Amino acid sequence: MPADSDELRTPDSSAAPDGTDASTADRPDDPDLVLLRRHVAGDPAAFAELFRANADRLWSVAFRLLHDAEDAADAVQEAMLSAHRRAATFRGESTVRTWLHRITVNAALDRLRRQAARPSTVPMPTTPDGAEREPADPRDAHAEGELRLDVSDALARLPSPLRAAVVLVDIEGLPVAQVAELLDVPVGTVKSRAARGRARLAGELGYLRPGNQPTTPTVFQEGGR
Amino acid sequence: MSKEEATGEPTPEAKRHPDGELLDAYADGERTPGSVDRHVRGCTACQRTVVGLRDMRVELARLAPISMPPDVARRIQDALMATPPPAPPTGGAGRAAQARRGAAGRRRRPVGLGAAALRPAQRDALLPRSSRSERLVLLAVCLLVVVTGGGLVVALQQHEPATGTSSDAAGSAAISVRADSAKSGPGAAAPLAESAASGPSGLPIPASAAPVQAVRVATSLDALEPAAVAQHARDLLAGRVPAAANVPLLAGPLAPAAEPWAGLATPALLACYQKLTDVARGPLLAVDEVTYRGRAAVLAVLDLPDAPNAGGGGSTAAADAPAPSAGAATAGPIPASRDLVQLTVIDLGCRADQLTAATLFEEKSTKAA
Repeated sequence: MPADSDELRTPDSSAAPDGTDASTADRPDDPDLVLLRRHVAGDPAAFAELFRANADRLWSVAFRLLHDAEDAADAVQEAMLSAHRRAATFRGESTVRTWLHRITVNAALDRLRRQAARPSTVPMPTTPDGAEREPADPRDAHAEGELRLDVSDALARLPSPLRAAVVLVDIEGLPVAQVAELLDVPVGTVKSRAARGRARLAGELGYLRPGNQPTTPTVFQEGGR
Repeated sequence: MSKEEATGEPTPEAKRHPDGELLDAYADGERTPGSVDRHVRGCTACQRTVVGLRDMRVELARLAPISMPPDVARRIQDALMATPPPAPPTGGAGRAAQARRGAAGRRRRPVGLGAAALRPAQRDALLPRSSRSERLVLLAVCLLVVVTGGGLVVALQQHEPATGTSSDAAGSAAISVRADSAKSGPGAAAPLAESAASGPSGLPIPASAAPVQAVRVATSLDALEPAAVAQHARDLLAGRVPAAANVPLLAGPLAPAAEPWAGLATPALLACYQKLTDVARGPLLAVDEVTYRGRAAVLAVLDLPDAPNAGGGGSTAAADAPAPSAGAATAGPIPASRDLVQLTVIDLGCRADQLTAATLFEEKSTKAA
């Protein structure tokens, strides 16, 4: 998948919804855009500053998609190097922040696909700091009387197709149509995966009371695809 | 679970629960067939599910960003610094940009396997030559530390061979020193801060007035650009920045309300300094309130662990690299020209849990050329 040729509009993007290029002229004060321009003009410190300003947001999406600190770090690094190299091609059709986000999502999804293609080499999920950890088992939690698992643990337990849909739609707030494009699946598939992922999370986190989950087993228990 | 159990009291509409995705769409307020609404209205189980699914969406949307671990940020930053600049735009503007890059590119440093390390020769090339007197001042500070002894330590402790601490252990040493200072009571810190703040400014380091772990604190409000940071840091260390005080900033409770530098000693900023020292594994030497590209910011100068052998390349502050060998402690004071420091500019509103995002500039340099 092309990493950064297209620009994605997220709800925080100020690009015109009709697809016209409203961005650059409308965002003269966007500090990220100023930094990107400085980088293109040869300022050696500008891109590092741009990276730092966006680091947490990019890390969040990469880590939540991959649930492995090393993979997430590789994905963000690959994305940043790509953006660094191709900064001059930024067309201003979205915010710089959105552009970086999309490049990072693509890099993370590429790694997610590679993980899926080599299930035997999928690493043990890690904490954001890189420490290995076994995702909590909801049965253990129930046995210990805990009402809820941590959302991150529950996300880590989702099959990656469901997790990707939930992360991109519910956490990152991307429109379903754009997630469908990113994942290269029909819109209906994204909706279905997000709904199943959501239902699983809700069940594991205790949002669905015992005896009330799932109300529609034939749909929500289809599995990961 | 049987349908009867799930529905509680079945109504005619509850003969069959709606498809899960329909229920999810209903929970999201999407348009769904009227039968879904009729069913949900009469089915307490589905009502609870709808509420649960809505709550799930809200919870997911409210998840806070995860802070990028400092070692990951450093690694990526090093990789970016090692990457050639982008291809210049075509035309005259491109040539102008190329020319600017040539001038600015002197600060770009090659990074190889020892990502953050700089060879001495490269480091020397980064900074203009400093005066001989500046080096002497630094050495004088080190000697004063030895003389004052008795548990009184300054942040430049790693230059003190008598302590027996490896310079690589400077970070942990500084932390233990902080503990000692705290034991000596907060009363020791406040008078010092007062005397230092009211003392003469703009002079070479008044070490005699700072017998405990002192951080040079200034509020120059100078406007910094990336190329000016290293020189400003050296001025700061050498006492050439006006109104600088020596304050035991991380040593324990402070009462800086009336001090001009009180804004640099907020709990949030102190936590940021602490995190910086933890990552750099070296003590904080100096902070200065500045503006960086128009933003209110703080320049923090941290001492980095050094390997005193002249082989070069051995010093590293890479967070994921083990400390250099313990044998590094055998040599005496490290010449300022090879003594690595980290220069970090953070936003004045920095919070420790968002340190990466609040970091506006970072590079490694030396205390002197």
